[in-house]
Amino acid sequence: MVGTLQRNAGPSVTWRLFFVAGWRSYLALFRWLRPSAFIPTVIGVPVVQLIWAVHLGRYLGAYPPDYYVVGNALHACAMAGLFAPAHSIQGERYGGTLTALLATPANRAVMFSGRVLPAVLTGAFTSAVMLGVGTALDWVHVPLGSLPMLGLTLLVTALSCSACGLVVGAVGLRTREATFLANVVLYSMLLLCGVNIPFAWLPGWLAAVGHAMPMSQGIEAARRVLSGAGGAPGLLCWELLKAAVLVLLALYLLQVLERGSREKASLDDV
Amino acid sequence: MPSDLEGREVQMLDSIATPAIAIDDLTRTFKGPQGRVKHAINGLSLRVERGEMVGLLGPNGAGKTSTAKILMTVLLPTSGKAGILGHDVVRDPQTARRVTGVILGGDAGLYARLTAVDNLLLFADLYGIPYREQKPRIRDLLDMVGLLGNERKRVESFSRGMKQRLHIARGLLHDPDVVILDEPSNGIDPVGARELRALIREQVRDGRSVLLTTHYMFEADELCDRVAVMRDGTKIAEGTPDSLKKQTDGQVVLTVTVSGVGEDHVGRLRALPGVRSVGLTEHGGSQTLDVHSGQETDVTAAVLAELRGLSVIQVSKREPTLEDAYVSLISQDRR
Repeated sequence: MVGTLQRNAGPSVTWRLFFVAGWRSYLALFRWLRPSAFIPTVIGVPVVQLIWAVHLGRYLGAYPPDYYVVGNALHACAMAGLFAPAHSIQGERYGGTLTALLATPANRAVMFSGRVLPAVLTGAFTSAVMLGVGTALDWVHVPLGSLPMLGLTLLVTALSCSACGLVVGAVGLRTREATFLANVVLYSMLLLCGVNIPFAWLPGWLAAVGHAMPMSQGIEAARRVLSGAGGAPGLLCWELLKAAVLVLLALYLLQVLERGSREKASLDDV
Repeated sequence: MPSDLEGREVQMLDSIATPAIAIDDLTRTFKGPQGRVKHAINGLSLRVERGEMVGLLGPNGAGKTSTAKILMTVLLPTSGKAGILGHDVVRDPQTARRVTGVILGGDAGLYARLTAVDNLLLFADLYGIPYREQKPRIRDLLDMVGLLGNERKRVESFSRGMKQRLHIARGLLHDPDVVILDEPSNGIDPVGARELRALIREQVRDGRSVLLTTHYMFEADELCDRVAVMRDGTKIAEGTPDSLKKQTDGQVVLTVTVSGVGEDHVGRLRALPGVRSVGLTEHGGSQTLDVHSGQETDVTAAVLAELRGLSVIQVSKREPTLEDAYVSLISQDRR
């Protein structure tokens, strides 16, 4: 009998589209990232950045090393969190699979959101490794009791960065410049989100922009968790709210820009 | 008032009467450099009935792939309508996608770093095929396309022909009623292309409706119930392969192998009295000119006179083939 298979679709199909297809797409696009490429790209660059920032901070004498370790460790999650979803559409375009992908009836919101999950886990893992490096170099002390809350902070921050990456990825449906845009966002975060430069040092409007960007409350929450100060859950709620807004914006953009690219015949542009 | 049973019968008859693919007055324009508007498709109307295979033929840039992309729902038309089994591809693309299998030609469309089976599993989830049905279905399809045994190899290690067979398996994963094949045999060696045609033929035998875009006339002749020929976005002929062949009845083809022929020569040959059309094929160092004329006129002397000064390698006369009918159609109005 012809044409009956996918008409049995139910919740398990949606579940598989989110988790299984999301993971398989991640492998399809990033399997080139073997340990020999993954370690220098996702771990090596942030380690160098972290060491450089700590030494610069020491030289300036503004803040103790743990301030820079936490800021740069959390910023490290943006590398995977931001670039993986941003590249997920650009990679389809370069691989010539975008047309085949968008010719399927798969729910776009579920399909592309599913690609965020591996990015969140990779991003949180990278940040954890950076904190481990900071601890090994005796620049930061992570109390055992703070680990659950710290883990949650890393996950929420990585989610926020990945949601931002999904917005950038959605823009990639319409333009070929998603990777460039992801780089602009990454370095804007470095400058404006309290990674190395406190908000108090920024002009008021730039500080406001920084507060609205992903990761800024996550960094502050991590600093409070490690110092034993309160207020981290409230900050994480703000970070989650930003992530939710970014996911909604990404889903809206995916819908609008997919139609736009069908109109402008830009799906095959490389 | 009709009874419930009559109502259902009417509905069933309606669904049988709905063509597999219906294209009405379809137009797609693109803006080129300096804002110039180019018609990729210009007022195309076409029907593919259920269980029928129709070939869409034409040279590069004729509008075949744009038509296929509109039916695949990845390109929007500028005007006109296109529907798959009655589902409008613009207003109801999701339903159209569910009943359509897309088989692309070329290397694009597969994840090179995944294995064949992982590619199919990924698309099985994208098409919403329940997990329990995925593995047996994939195994059957891999068996059908002759890739069983290679299913755990990464696609990047596949030959062009193996990739094309995997494309077919992927396009049929969700058991679609309608299949769109976009230039599937491009770049495949003759043996691979023959195997591919056998696979495509099986699909129609299984009751599917197929639209095949190609610029290989012999492929369309072997596979299609009907063909439509496009040129510059417009349909210039439609009918059975046999009816198209008849257009060359009473013609003779003068084939000249030569080197150094330019567009100006072709233009002058087309203007010769008795010449109906001229086709030019490049072969690395040499070219082949196919000059079509009526049987009543011998244009050999006039053609050779126009080619004076060039290196003429071989001259022969023959009866026209189906490909000549196609070339003749494509060349008309360019005379």
